[in-house]
Amino acid sequence: MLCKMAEKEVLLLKKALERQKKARIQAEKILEEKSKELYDVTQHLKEANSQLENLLNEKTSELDGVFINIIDPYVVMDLKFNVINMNRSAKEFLGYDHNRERLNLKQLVHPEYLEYTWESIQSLLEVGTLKNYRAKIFSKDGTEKWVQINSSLIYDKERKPIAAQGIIRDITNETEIRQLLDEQKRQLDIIVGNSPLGIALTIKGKIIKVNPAFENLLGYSEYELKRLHVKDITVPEENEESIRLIDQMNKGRLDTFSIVKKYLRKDGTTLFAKTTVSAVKNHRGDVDYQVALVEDISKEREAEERTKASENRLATLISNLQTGVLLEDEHRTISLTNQMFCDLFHIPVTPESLKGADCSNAAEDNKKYFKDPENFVNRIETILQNRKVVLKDELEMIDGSILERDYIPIFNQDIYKGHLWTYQDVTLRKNYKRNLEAQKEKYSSIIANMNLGLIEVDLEDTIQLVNQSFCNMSGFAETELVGQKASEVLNLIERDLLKEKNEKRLLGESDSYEVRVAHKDGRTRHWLISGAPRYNEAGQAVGSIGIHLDITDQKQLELQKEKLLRELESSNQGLQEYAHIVSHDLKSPLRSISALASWLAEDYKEVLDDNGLFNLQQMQEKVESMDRLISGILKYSSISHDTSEHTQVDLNAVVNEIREIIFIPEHVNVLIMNTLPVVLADRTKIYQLFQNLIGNAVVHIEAEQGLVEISSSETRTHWQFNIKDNGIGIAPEYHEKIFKIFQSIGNGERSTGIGLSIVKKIIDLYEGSIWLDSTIGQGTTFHFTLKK
Amino acid sequence: MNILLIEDDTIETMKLQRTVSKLQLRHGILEAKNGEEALSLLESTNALPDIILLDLNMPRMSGIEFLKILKADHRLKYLPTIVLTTSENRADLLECYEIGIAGYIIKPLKYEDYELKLQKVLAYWDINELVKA
Repeated sequence: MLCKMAEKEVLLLKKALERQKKARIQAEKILEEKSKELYDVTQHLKEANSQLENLLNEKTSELDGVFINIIDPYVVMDLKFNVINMNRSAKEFLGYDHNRERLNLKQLVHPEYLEYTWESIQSLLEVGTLKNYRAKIFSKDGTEKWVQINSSLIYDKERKPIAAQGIIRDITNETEIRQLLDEQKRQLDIIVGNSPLGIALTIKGKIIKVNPAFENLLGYSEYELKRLHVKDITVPEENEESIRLIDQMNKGRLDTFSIVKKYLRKDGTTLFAKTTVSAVKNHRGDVDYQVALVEDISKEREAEERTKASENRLATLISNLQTGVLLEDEHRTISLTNQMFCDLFHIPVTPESLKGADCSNAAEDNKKYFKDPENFVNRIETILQNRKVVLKDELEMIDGSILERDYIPIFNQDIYKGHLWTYQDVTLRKNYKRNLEAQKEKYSSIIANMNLGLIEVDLEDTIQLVNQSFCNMSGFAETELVGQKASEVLNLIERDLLKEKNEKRLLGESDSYEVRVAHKDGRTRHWLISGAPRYNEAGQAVGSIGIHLDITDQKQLELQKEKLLRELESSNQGLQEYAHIVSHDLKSPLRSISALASWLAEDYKEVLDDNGLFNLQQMQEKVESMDRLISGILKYSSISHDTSEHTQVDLNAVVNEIREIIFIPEHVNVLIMNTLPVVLADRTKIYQLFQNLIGNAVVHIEAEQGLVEISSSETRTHWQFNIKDNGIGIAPEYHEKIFKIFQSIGNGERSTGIGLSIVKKIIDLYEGSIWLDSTIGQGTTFHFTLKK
Repeated sequence: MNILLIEDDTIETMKLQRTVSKLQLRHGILEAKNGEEALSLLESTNALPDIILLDLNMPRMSGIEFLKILKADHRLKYLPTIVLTTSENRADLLECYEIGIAGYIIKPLKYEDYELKLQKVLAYWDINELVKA
């Protein structure tokens, strides 16, 4: 079995060998072909390579020459930073020589730049070149240096990178400057950013850049401002000078200017800002930018305006002051004066034009206006020397007016800066004061000596002052009164009245009233008090003042008079009633007698003889005359003021009426000679008056043609009437007697002797008088007057 | 016509009686001595007089006092009252008219004058419309 297996294997192996022989022949054939090809290529490459090798050699030597002569440091390093070659400049720069010592560039790199360096190498390896590698390195002596390196890879013949070469530029200085610049820019940014001034950069009016202050000032953000034109945020310029300046700058003739400009804020309000514009020019002299520095001066302006206004007010005040003001500086030159000063010293120019005038001679020039010129000059000199405040110097001027002068030196930090003179015309005040003093003097002596009691109390009714008369009146000594309560010390009977009056005083009312008061000795006295409120300087009521007059005597007289009057009145009334009663009681029996006598005559005329009848007749006549007498007395006694009722009485009507009523004999005419007046009087009395006089006149005329003429005239106070007749006349010895009661001079039966008494009594009532002219046998004229 | 004469003086009463009878007037005359008597007379009768002639000066109750009572009485106040007096006192005159009277006659001194006056007064009232009770 084993054999068999071996046989089979051999067979298989033989076959496999066979296949391999065939495949090998095949492969040898392909290999032969390929080798041929390869040989051809190799041959070709050999040629090319030798060509390149030649080229490279050429270039290398060429470069070697360049590098040796290159100024910038040149270094070749392997990929592990070991320096392979470096030129002289590099040796100097770095301080190393690769020929003497091993130099690895990596060790020179500043630790901060190692990572950057690693990244840069990776980039170099990928791309093959590296530009603008910048890093800080240390040279051999330890100094830091900034370098910029441009580098490229070096390959071997198989294009495999084997080294890197680089040119080093020392940029230490450059970097420092740039850093400095950066620093400065940063600082500048801080300054600009924090500047309280608004700063704006513009190009031809277009806003390019602004700082926060500028934004704040105008209320726009920078973003918004950059879309705005200068015209949008400013109020068009009106000031000619500003317009000119802007124009000049735009034309390039002006580099910088400052103006005050009005700006428009975003919210529509405006602000005033001091603006400084500077032109920034390029090297050709054209304007590149305009820089504007803007400072908000609204507040300053406001303050300035306020100051100005307050200055104006002050100036107005001074110029209108009723005090003459003269402000001199330390050189005695006028700084300020006013109209009042010019008026006081008769200076015929305006106060403004006096500014700057020298005053050293002013005292001499003006002394002529003063009563004591030498003293005036000396005093001024003394004052000026002392340089101390002098107030209320009184100066008498020749025109009689009085000035009050103040001197106030002015020091600024203890340095004398001049002085202020003020002059005030106090003539009125002075005179007023003098008058006041004189008046006071006068009145105090009056008060002290007057017969009137004077008392002053405060609001609590405490007595402040009394005069001697008051003490006498009240019976108290001054010490018993002052300091006490008036209402407690003085024993007034009408206590409530005083309280009421005191309340009135507080309201500022003055009045007079009467009181009864118990004198210290207990007797009741009557006082007339005139009370008035007392005021202090501020016009507040501080109490009251009372003037007292002891009217006890007058009062008693008055009371007595009143009593008498009352008595008189009642007695008058009683008398009148009495007269009426008496007359009635007298008249009634007369009527009875008269009736009985006439009945006797009538009933018994057959029985009675002539003598009896005559006696009865006589009886009747006596009864009649007695009746008239009683009537007359009654009338006379009735005439009084009491029953008067005054009305307008037309005397023409009265006379006409009397003419119709009284008995006038045929041959007598009663004539009114002129229109009689209308008088204000009691009609009944006036009627009685005229009736009696006319009645008297008409009955006493014996002439054939009787004539009674009534006329009137007028004086300032009285009416005068004249009643003229052409009767028998009255003898002079009776001219007064006829007006007395019961004095009849007539021989007629009808005369009672009362008529003219009634006339006289009525005329007396009307405050007139009566008199007469008469010639026996020719006639009588009665004249009488009545008060208007 | 019925006349009430209020008068204290007998002669005065006689004067009126004589006048009425002499002139043959057919008037009835009632007499009272004073105001009191007159009032009781007026109050006691249903037949009131047509007019009253009143003296002022009387004892017990004067004419003016009587007049006041009369004018205050709702029944009597319509009686025409003529004052017949010697008083020429103006105060009396005014007071009487104020209270209310129908006339004020002063008694004349002479009887003849009295007769004439009374004749007229009575004639006048005779032709008047009177307030009959």
